Amino acid sequence: MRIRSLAGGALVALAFGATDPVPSSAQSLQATLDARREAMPRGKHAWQETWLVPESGTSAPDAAEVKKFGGRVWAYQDGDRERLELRAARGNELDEPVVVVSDGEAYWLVTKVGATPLAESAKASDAWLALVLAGPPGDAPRHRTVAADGGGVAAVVLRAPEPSDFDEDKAFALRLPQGGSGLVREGLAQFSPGRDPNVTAAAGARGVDQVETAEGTVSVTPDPAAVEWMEDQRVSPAELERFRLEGRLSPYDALPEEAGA
Amino acid sequence: MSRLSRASFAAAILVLAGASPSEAQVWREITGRAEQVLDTAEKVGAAVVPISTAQEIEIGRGVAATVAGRYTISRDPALTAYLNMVGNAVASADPRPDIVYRFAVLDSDEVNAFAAPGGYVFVTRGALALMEDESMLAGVLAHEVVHVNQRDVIEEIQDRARTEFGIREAAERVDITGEQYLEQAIGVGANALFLGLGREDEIEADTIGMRLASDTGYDRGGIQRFIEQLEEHSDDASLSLLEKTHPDPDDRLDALEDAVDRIPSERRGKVVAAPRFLNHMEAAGLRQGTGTP
Repeated sequence: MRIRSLAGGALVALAFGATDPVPSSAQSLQATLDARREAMPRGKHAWQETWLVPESGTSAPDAAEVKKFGGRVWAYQDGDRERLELRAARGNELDEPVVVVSDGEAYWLVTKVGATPLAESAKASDAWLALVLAGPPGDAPRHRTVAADGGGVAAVVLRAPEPSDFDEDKAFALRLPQGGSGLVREGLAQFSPGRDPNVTAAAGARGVDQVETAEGTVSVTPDPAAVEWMEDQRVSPAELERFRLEGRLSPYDALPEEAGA
Repeated sequence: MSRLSRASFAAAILVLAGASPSEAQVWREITGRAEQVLDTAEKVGAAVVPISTAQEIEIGRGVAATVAGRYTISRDPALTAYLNMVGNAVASADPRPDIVYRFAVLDSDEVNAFAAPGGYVFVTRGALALMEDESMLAGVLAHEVVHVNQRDVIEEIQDRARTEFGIREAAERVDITGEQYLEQAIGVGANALFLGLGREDEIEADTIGMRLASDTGYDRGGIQRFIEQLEEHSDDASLSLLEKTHPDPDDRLDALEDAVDRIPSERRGKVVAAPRFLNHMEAAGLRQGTGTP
């Protein structure tokens, strides 16, 4: 399935890990939202999309060359209400989530302090968001490409289902809870940098000097330094995505054979 | 129970007994004892309710330091990174958003793996030596991730606090978040790892772990093949502790066989990744000449 991109040069932001918006008129955003609402299926659906972009530039001649992790989207939908949560890759890390919620009548940009009409927010001209909104709601193929305006492929999108028994109150709330986005299971602690300073400061990795085992009591010299070393061996989201892609683990098992790793 | 409810409870006793003023002293003593019962009941309730995530991580760090002290953690960054890739890949199939999963290799010939609370997971060099591909490693790490996600060691700490310290004492200790309770909890947690968790916890870790690995894209047979290896090497001294702390391999394989069919066909991963696994083992000096060039 090929979907024509709505925003010219739209994936510049993703390709370079930046969030600078590409200009897009309020009118075209409204047209995208209207089309999306029109296509919205009945019932509950939830999915995750992994966006791959060219290594450099805004397009590649062939989809097989589009394999740099650009970001991930989580979508939760129930009838005409939906929530989209976008996290763009920035270098080896993930940006803070951008959360957009439709209450069935309008789309809102949701933050910890409340909601702003999407059309009136700075995100109204965000290129990646425009492409995500232009994508198919509800059930869709596991693999699709997004055509670049000037020809070639701007992005490859891999879709994987998520459990659809999500909490509607949380999903469609017009304010984010403190300390997290409230719904997405993956990411917030997992992708936080380094170890939690509160925990580190609290106790240090103390241990005990004697343990009971199935083979008797054993004396131990606890090794808190080893635990700190272990805590420093963190893998970044981008490294983990490359590892998954190389091994064709989910969601990259949806890529066609010829895509290579 | 709220203060209002307590007062109602005491008043109800007096009303039901039809107490006269001269009998008030006796009834005050009875209601006082009723209050004590309620106090204890509240504390027992507290004992089974919360160990917060922050406390869990603190306990986990202490248990991890104890595991690292009993064995030695391999300081090979490449091998540790590989373990963290596989471990975090399977963990992300059903992650706890409140913790960070961390994985390390223990420099021991003993065949074993451990999951300390809060996301600290260990696998021994001896266990890696029994594996032939990445799906087997994924199966073992997924098993440990399930122990973390289900808070099996934390539940063990709560259970043992009640049974071993006695109800009232346990209730008092659980109220304490300071030094004494933390050290007790770390001790009980470390003992739980080395004495073994319950049979049901282990079987559940196998079956849910198999689903996690499969959801991640790995061949769901990885954990089965690893347990078959345990069975095959059951006479080795290096398996002695693991055999004493885990259910019989035949029972584990039977449970996995039952669970295999419950994984929907569209969620059955196929990745085995033997060359990648063997290349990493070779680079770490754990195998010789077994991977692809």
